Amino acid sequence: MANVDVGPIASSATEIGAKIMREWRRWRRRPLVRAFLATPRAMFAALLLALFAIVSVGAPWLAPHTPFDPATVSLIDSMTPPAWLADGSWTYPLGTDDQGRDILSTLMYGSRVSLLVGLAAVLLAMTVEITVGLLAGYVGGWFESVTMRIVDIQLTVPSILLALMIDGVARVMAPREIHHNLAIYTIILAIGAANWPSFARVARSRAMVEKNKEYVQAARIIGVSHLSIVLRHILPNAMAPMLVIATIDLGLAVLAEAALSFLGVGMPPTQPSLGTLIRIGGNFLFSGNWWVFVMPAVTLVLFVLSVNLLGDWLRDSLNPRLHRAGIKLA
Amino acid sequence: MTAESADTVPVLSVKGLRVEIPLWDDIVVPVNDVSFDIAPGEVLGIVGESGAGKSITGAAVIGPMDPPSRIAGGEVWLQGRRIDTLSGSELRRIRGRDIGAVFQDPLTALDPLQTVGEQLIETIRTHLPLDRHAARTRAIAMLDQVGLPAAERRLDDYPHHLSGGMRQRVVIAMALCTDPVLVIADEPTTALDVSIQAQIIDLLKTQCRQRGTAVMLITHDMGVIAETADRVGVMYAGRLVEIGSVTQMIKAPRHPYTHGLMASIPRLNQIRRRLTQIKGAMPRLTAIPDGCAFHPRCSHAVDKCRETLPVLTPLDDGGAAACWQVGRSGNRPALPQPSVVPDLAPLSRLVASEPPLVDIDNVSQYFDVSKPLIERLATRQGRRILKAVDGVSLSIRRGETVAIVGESGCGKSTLARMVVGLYRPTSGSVRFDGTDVGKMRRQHRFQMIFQDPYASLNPRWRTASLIAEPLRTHGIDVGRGVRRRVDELLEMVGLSAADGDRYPHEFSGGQRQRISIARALACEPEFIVCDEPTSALDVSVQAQILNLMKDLQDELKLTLMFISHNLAVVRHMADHIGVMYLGRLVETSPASELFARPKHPYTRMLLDAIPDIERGGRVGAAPRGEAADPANAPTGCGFHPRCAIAVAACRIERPNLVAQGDGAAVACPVSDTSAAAPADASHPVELVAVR
Repeated sequence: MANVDVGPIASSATEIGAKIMREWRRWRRRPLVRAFLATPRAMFAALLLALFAIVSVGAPWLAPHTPFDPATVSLIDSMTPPAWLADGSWTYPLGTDDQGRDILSTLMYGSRVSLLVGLAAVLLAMTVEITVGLLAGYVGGWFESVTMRIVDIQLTVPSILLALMIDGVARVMAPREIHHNLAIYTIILAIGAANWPSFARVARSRAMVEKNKEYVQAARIIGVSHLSIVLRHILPNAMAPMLVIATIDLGLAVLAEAALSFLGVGMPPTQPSLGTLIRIGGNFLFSGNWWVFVMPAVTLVLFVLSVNLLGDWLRDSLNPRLHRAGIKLA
Repeated sequence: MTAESADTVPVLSVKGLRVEIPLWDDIVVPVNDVSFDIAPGEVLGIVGESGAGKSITGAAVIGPMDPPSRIAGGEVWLQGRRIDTLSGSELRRIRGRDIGAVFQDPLTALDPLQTVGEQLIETIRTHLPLDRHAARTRAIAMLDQVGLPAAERRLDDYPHHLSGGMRQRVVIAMALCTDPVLVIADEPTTALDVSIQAQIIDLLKTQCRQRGTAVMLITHDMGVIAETADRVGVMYAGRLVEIGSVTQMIKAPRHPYTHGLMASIPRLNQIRRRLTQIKGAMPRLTAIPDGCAFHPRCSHAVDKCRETLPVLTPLDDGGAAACWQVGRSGNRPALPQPSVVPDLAPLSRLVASEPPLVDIDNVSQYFDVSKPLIERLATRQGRRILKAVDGVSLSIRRGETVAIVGESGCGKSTLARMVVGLYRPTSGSVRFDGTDVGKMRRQHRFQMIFQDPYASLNPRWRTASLIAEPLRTHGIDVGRGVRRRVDELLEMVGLSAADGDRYPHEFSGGQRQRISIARALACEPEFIVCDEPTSALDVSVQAQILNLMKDLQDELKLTLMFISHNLAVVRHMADHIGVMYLGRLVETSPASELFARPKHPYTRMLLDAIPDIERGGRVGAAPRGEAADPANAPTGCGFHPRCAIAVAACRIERPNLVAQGDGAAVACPVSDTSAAAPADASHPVELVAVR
């Protein structure tokens, strides 16, 4: 038999395959990836977070019930205990609440809201304040003094108080009918604003360090514009600590959202977040129906724990002083 | 061991030392099968380029290694006693008392929160049975011996009160205060200026000779070795490749690596000759080649070198070399020499009549280093102005290489940054081809190459993008042309097109400097400012980069401004040299003239401070004193406190550059008379005090 002719298409396919493999191998060799694959703690946290992400995004399709559609909820099923207890039923694996809503489903929808609020708040804080911080650090002079003093002042206002204030103002300004729809935006703004200063300060200090490095001076002599220097040279090199803050702040933002909702200024019961669910559950804590409270509380703890574990690990492994000790982690 | 008498027992005997560092998926061996002895009172130099394992060898001798590094094999004997197996507390006793250590950075070797006296007295009392008072007396005596003026008062100083050279003296005092039998000095002068280096080397040499202390001197600098060592061991990729007497090593090195290393050092007595270079660079520890680790770079390599590791074989004259090509008599078979590259073109490309390309006109750069206003009012201090550059004028003609030399803090880097427009001069102006550089925006006609090849490339960009950035910024090339041009530039600087896909951290220091050069060339500049472009590189790599820059200069008709602290490098590169001291030019001169007839006393001091490798060290006496703090410069001529020929007027009047007949200009009215007498280049100029 003659040799099988591979043909141009097949050979280019193997070429692409080889290229992908090469990139993958390069990626696998990166210190961060290797450190990740060698730390069970980080992998566990990432796995849990991935689960949260899947469940939150896919809640409408994955949830066994649609808890906020009155048509599907029946009061007869209210206060069913979790399935493994007597009187429990596998129709409602984690039991139901006072209105007969399936707790597992409310948790899935609740995580969705919590995660959305947390992510949006952190992204908002990041974009606004990284811009401000980078500019302050790069430009310097009076611009830096003014912006940084504003940030300092903002730091002195307790974040919950700030959130209550923004929420209050929004409620006064907006007509009553849209309060419920407005809630999520106010809360994102409130939590985002509370998280601004940490990003601004880190971004500024990073920009100050990086702008004096020789590669930035080299770019200046080459004639690269200031905007391009900030965005394409300084920002990527300043991102590492920001990512760490973002991860840790995500946990804090979700907690803050829960606290606000618990206080009653957060998400309304028709669109409950984990915090709202905990607040509702709190009413039944002493009446024996503990699961209504415990289930969202445990979910929240697990979520924040995994975010923090991942953030901690990220901070350790991105710390240049610990880089050498990457060996130690093995 | 027991049979030998006390004086033949080596002070230090290292046998088959092997150090391992476990990594994620691999074990690297930075020191592999290293054996050597140091006799009482002997100075053994250990040389090698970075990554050779010389510092780790020193650390392994001193004591328990920082995990995860570990001594994985071999023995270390100190005065006939095995010390590598001792427990931590036993070893600590020996380490302080019998082994003293001097490290590269005198700032980190001292505790910043304790006074010099506290640290010295603590060291003495830990190891010697002396009471506080006796220890204090000894500490003062030690400081006095290491040449610290007013030793008693210095006891209460904190390390930050002292200059770099003073601190290194204190570190030496600490190393010697317990009368150790061995001192391990790891790059003791690398962080210091040439003039201070000469003082410290003198000190270490005389102190150890007086006490009969043996020294293990670890350095990359052959000049320091030539001046100090009795025997030299050369390390390459973790192994000792050659060991022998210092004269043997300098006059007739046997191992091809030693040979190449010696040849690639720029010398003061060679002008405008192409440096001999060894191709490639030291392998990374994770990829040490099979067989002889040097074979990929060796022009003598044969098949056996690629397959079998040569062992260190004793030679008839007492030395030893690890090379298959070296016979027992120490002779290498005469192999065809690497192809001789023609020397570079002489100075003929200069056109004297043209107006200067770069015209630096009386530029100054002052930095305000005052304390905040409130503090100034409280302490009644005035403003403190640091005159980094103070009234420098210089013109650079097209096609010329002008070098600026001087020790750290003399303002040479600040001047370079003003020339390319990174700093705006406090006063004066820099004109490039008639235009003020401060007004040139987004220009590409001049570029700069920086000292640190690790900091000057954005670590997150691939090489190709780094080189393409200037092309895109200036629209020199667009679309597909960019990649083609990038490949061209990569090949021009001796890299391959495939290197474009790699990140800067995947390259060695020398390769990164090549990338920086390619990036500067992408702008198609006429003029390049090089700020210490090779001072972070190993000698063999430095030779490659210097040769590359000369080739590119000839090929592309570049004009260069070359900033350096190394006079030998400058001599190799420059047509015209300016010497800076405390922010001012003290002498400008054609290169040949400067080295043959240095006119300013500072220039002479710098030249005298350089160890002459062939003649086994410096010829003149070590220079006096240290450069003053530029924020607190002396009045009159800044150099007068260190000057041997200073007269009363030098303290008052600041001399300006005065043109001499031979194209030179000197800022020293006193030296005029002595310069008139022709100085014999082979003897140091006799400094006659004119009063």
